[in-house]
Amino acid sequence: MFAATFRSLLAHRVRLALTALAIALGTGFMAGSFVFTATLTHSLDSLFAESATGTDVVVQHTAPTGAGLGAGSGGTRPVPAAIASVIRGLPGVAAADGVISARAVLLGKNGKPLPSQFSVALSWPPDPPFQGMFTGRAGRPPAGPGQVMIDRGSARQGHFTVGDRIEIAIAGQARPFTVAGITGYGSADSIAGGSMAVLDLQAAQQLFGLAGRYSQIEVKAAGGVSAQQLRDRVARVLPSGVEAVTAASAAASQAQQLNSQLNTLALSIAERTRELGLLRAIGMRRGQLSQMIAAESVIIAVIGAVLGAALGLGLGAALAAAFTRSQQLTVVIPAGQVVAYVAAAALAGLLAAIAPARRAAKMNMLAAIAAE
Amino acid sequence: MGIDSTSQLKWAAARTAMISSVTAPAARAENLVKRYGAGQAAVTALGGVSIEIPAESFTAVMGPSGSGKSTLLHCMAGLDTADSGRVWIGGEEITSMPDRQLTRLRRDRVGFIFQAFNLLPVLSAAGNITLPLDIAGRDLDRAWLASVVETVGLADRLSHRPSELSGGQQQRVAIARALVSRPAIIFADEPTGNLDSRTGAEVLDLLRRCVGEFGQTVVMVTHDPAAASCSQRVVFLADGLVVSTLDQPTPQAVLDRMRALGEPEPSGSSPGRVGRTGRTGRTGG
Repeated sequence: MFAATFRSLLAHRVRLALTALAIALGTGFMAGSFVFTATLTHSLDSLFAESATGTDVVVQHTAPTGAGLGAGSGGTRPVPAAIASVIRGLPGVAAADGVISARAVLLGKNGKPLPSQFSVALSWPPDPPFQGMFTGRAGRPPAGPGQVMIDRGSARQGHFTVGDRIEIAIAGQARPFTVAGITGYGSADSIAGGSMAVLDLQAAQQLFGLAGRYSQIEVKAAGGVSAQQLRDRVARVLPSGVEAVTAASAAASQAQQLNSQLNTLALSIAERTRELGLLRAIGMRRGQLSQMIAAESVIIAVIGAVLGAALGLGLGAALAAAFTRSQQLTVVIPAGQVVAYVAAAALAGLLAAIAPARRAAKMNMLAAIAAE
Repeated sequence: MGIDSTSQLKWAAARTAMISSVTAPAARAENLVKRYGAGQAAVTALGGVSIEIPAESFTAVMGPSGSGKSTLLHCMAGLDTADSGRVWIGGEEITSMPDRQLTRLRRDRVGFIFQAFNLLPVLSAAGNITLPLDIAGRDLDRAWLASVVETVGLADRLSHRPSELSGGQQQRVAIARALVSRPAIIFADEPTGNLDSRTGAEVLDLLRRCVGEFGQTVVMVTHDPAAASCSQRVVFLADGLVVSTLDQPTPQAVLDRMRALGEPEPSGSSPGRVGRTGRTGRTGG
């Protein structure tokens, strides 16, 4: 009997392809965002909204400029620093830190820029929840003007150790600093192959002309408060021109996909009323018919999900690479999530088949066969 | 219904009872009643039909449009349920069967041939022929399949899809599908209704050979006196009742009987219960 299902699926190639494509696109964007998120979380943590340091919500200007998202562009439009203290006072907020991200180039001992994919200056987050990504530190975090913590990759490349003097080019002008500390970034030596100068927060505000302002404000939720709840609470106290964002919710996309699959199946049932009526007439049991429809739905859903996941892996890696402009990027495939998503798609296919399968089992055979 | 018809009915019932005592029937219906709708608007499709189909016989069922012949066929084949009365296929009474058992009976004991062929467009001719076995999960008897395929003359068309076959070829696939599970009885609902006269005659010849060569039992509903005359016996229905039978029919005898039942001309364009247009294949009249 299932041989007939598979043959039927193969024969309805166009319908199958279109349905699978719709699911693949939906799944692709989902999986793509998983990969993108995981990759960026891995490499660009404190610069990016969906950070693994425990940042649940990021407060930023509503129109981040050009290269946006902070990665070395130095062009992010700042938000007023006063917002951070307002946010800290909100219920459900565990911590909120202002962050400066800007462009600063580390110079080697020969006075030339250290070669790297990009160069970024970050502020040292005062609150421990946001310090998690600065891993394997030697020395101390920067404290006050004139101190810097550099990434381990640059330290190795330029032969810098804690206590050395280093020059950093900021806005085209070389400035002297002392290497107070050396740090990794997550599991890597630096941010996605870039160089990193971590500065004291106030010193960074001064250096980049951002007194009383932050590039972004990172907010961490207290226990029992979801990112979405936190976002809503934070959003209420923000002035115009400033927004709060969470990790994008995938729910809407998934609901839409389930819905479209329901419609596709309903359509295919209508087209096939005569066929199904005939199958009942020549002896297919109601249960067999329901199983056949369910199997068809699950097969289509899984094919779509697998194609989509593959599409998404490429898409996510490409997006992440584009954002970081780094060939040293380690693409992180959140295997658990992808597998879970394919399983969820199969389940969705099964659920979507329930109503059509029931209708088919209950239909009037003779009316179905006579259907024009 | 005049007095004449009523007496004819009594005669037919007596005759039916007489025949039944001679051979073991392949199928039997007793006092079948089927109504559609309720109250004043109710339409009686079958008003208490009793009929016996002898084994290894070719029976035609005729009657004016709305006489209940398709309903009779559907109720006897287990495709529809009667309001009262009983039906036996082989020795089994099917009227009291639960759906699951009835479905299995349709699968294993009954073959059905439709006017509109009703093949699965996605399967090849071979796939359509073996579909009942696929559904049943039964092993294929290759020798039997080969003999069926040879009889219907489709050996060189087995890999074709229905859309690549002519109407006559499609109906031959449907006949092979009905034969393949060696049913106790095959029901055919206007099997030549969608075919031209030549291919219709081929299909009728094939049905006759199913009876003669394979010992099958075939019951066929038809509008066409020429088709009916291919059978061994014609049962005439009117207003949901069996009104007469005709053994060893000729087209002219069938036509005369139909005229007596008030069907003006067999080629009339009155919409039948099956309600399909474009009927061809009328060779009689």
